Amino acid sequence: MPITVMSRSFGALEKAQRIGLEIAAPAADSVDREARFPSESFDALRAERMLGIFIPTEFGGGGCSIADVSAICTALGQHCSATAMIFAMHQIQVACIVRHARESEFFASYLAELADTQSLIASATSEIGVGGDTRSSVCAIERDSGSFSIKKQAPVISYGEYADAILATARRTPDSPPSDQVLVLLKRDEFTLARTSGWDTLGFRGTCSPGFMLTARATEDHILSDSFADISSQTMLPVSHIVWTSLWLGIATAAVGRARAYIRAEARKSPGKTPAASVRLAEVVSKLQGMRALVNDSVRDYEATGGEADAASGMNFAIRMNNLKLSCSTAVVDIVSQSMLICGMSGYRIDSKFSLGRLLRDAYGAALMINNDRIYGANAAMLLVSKDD
Amino acid sequence: MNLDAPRADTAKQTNSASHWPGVVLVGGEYAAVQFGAWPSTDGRGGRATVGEDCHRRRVNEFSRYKRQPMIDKIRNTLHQYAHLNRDVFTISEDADLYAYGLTSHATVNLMLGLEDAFQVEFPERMLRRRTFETIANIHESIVELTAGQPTAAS
Repeated sequence: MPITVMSRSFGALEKAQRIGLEIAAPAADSVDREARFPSESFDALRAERMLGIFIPTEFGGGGCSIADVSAICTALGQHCSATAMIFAMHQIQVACIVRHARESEFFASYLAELADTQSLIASATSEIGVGGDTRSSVCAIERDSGSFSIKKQAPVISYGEYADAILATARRTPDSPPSDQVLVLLKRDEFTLARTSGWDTLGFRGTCSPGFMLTARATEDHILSDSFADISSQTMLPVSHIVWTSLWLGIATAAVGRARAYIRAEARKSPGKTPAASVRLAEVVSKLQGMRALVNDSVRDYEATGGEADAASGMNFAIRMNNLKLSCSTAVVDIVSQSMLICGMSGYRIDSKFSLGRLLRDAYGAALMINNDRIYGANAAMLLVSKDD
Repeated sequence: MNLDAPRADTAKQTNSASHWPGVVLVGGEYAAVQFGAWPSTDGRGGRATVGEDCHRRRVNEFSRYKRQPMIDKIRNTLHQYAHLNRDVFTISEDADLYAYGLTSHATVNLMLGLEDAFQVEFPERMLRRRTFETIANIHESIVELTAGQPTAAS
């Protein structure tokens, strides 16, 4: 597991590892079985002020880097994928506000409020009638005398019912084209959610992502001034791909950990006799290293843009960030599957300490959030014009 | 802007504008052959001389002459590939094209169309939203990419 020791992390990684092992892991099966919100994990994360780690220290946050957040997502992902995914998605929203709105008086004070209250922020980007194209909206914000209203039919809002705020996309005005979007902050007392569908899925069951009709009204200062096009390409997309792949790396690491433990147990039973699947273990450990290397390299790639809007808007950068998601979503299924092959029936059983069923079910979600075919299509289009690195 | 006497091998009369006294079109650049006094400084921060003033005026008039066909060609390419929600020929040069419905997907087709129409290749650093944000920005990029080439303006 990548251990990133950063002077600013204030032991955040260590806290995450402890919360993962002692609190998230014991509850993970129940969270999965009941498709319930991992409240134990989030009570602990809040108590340790982990929700504010990505907020700069000047606002009272942890001042952690993307490398820190990535390592923490990996740590949590080893123990409970729902906890890790909710944590990851929250950090994406925080990143958008930090990178695109901190200059505004309203958002500067909101960041301080976030750090203080350890509020949880959800995201409402997808929309009924649009599919997985987050750069297209049907709903629009309608302004009147310093306020605006919004009505959005969202097919999924992960942990929406448990969030203290939601960042939602919408067209800039009722006359704007679908791709001319803004991002708006909606606080709990400013929105209502009416459930329109359930969440009964193969994996990531504890992310509680049913569909909702989102209705809200807030003051104009809640609208982030940067266009969503810029927020998306410079921050939301790269950070999303980094934190998601980090937690999938955690899932893969946990699976390989079980496979290693299984092989060691087999070897101890018959010393001198190499377990049949030990070569398979060697192969899967190699694959895990490849996945880890890609995640770490992408973190460095993103850090190298140094917050400079221009560098993070490049086409080759976008292609690389897409490739990160594409490769890792495939790798996690491959790695967990191979781990199950190594563990055999012990991995296939649910009532076993080597059980890999939940990890495999979660792993299959990776390629679908946003569908890989959509992302390959986007890369294919960009490759028509982008020039070699 | 090359203020020296034009190099014999590259000076070309490629259009009627070069009949204007004092200016010879050298590729995409303009060279002052002779007109009044040469600038007394290297051109940076020095007091403008009469000659420099007139030269600059001629360059501006000259670039306006060359500019319009290029802008029209850009508009035509936008019309063909951008699929905006408004008639391209009514959109001002400084208007935000993304506000008229230019999508990321259409931008790729637009880039291809512009590369083909102007026989240029956008380098990676120009593959940014900003480059295609307005007609004026597109024009600026094309001018930069065609500088030094013989004019291919149709």
